[in-house]
Amino acid sequence: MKLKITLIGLIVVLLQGCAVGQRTVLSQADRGSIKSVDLYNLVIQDEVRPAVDISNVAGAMGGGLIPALIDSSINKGRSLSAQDVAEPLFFATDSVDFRKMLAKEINTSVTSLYTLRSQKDVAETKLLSDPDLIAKIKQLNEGENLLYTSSFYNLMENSKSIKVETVAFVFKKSSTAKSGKPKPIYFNRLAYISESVGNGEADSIAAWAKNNGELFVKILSDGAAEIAQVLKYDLQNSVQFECNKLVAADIFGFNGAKFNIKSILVEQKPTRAVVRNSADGALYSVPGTPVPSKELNKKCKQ
Amino acid sequence: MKNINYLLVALLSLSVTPAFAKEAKKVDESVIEYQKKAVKTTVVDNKAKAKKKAAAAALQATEDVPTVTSCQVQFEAFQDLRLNKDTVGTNFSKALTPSGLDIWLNDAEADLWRGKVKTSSGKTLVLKPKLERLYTYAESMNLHGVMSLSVDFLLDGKLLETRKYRGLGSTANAWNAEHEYYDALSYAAHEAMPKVLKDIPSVCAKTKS
Repeated sequence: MKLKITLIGLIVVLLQGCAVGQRTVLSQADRGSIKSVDLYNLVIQDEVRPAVDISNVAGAMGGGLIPALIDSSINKGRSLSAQDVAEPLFFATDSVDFRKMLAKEINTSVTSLYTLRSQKDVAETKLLSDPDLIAKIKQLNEGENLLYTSSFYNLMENSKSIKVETVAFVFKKSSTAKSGKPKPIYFNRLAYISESVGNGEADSIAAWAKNNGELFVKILSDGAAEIAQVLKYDLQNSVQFECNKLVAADIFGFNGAKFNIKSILVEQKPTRAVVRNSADGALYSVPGTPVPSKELNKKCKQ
Repeated sequence: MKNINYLLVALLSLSVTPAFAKEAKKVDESVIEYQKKAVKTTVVDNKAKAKKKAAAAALQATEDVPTVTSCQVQFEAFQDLRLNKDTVGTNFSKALTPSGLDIWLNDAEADLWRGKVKTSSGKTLVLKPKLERLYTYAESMNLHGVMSLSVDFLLDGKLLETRKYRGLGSTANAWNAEHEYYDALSYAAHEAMPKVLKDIPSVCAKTKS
């Protein structure tokens, strides 16, 4: 039972787009060989997930069944409470379709790089099982690739901000050559973090929900556009580290807590910046101007 | 007493682990089945505890005591207006695409609405429910189900008003089995649908003006 709970917890973390894994850079050779792309743009969620401050007693105590049960019980209460707080936003935005927003932006980015086969106006709803994914990859011909994205969107920080996160993979036919899971020729995590709105909880929800969710829709739309642009950038650029632009940026951990990462400034825009986590290569679009870091990345000390 | 301490439920489930495992393996999960007796849970989070206790008590009263109204009340069948009609989520290895949703909704209506309203020979109030969202997801060690619906209240074929309702149902993710996700949806229906009954007297009162 303990193992089962632990495993489920791990699976949940991995598939919620919070997987910890190094970026797999699209090599120059692979980039040159891509002629057309099949896109599987997945959004499992039907609506935004409320902000829940996930209890992690089990983590703090080094695991165990009782701490896991305590976490489960606490988190259930917190989820119920978060749903209640967010109810006005849900009611104001029940016709909002994030799948359409994201499909429009990702289609635009992908078609600017490759020939996109079978373009869809709305993102997919069905998670592909491993056998279905492998079958899709095996159907590819030479020069054809599968771009698989899976996206999530959540209220964060007591509902003050919104995070859109995408995990992206590119596969080619030979990705399934060996047994086991297909090996992508590209992988990365891309995230958009909105600016903070309101004082948290009901106050922020009221701001998001005002005028039929006007601000919520705008930020969600901006998030979709930013994710698509960052994806395009990442597919085109193989440079991992730029030593002269180290900054510190705030991102969210899997339990919703904010923490600071050392990162490389990719682009400073008027109101936000794109940074690359120097540890794993993930890209984040964060609000404001990140603070320059005094430290040099180890890989830059030469 | 329907409220059961969550930890007791979890510990009890441990004591019958082999049976649970067998059940989880045995069930073919392609059909969604409505659960009549949803397990009520006690909220542990202190901040939400008092509020939830009051809400649970009110809901309990709604479920046990028929709603008395001076109207005749008719419930129409659910219209499915979900943006996503293909899935209700995923259990992380595959999409959850249950069949039998119409039957599930009809069973829920029969259990939670019809027969719960004592009516008189007044005007006929027609309720047209629309299913806006129905999905389930895992969070931490729990599975949650969400049901969101809107209800048109009609008198003599004219729309009086539309009201919206939501419910969240939760259960422990013991086996990550499909039926546990569907149970969460049944619990969500038990949270959302009784709220409609509470509104009937106030809407019915408007028909007299």
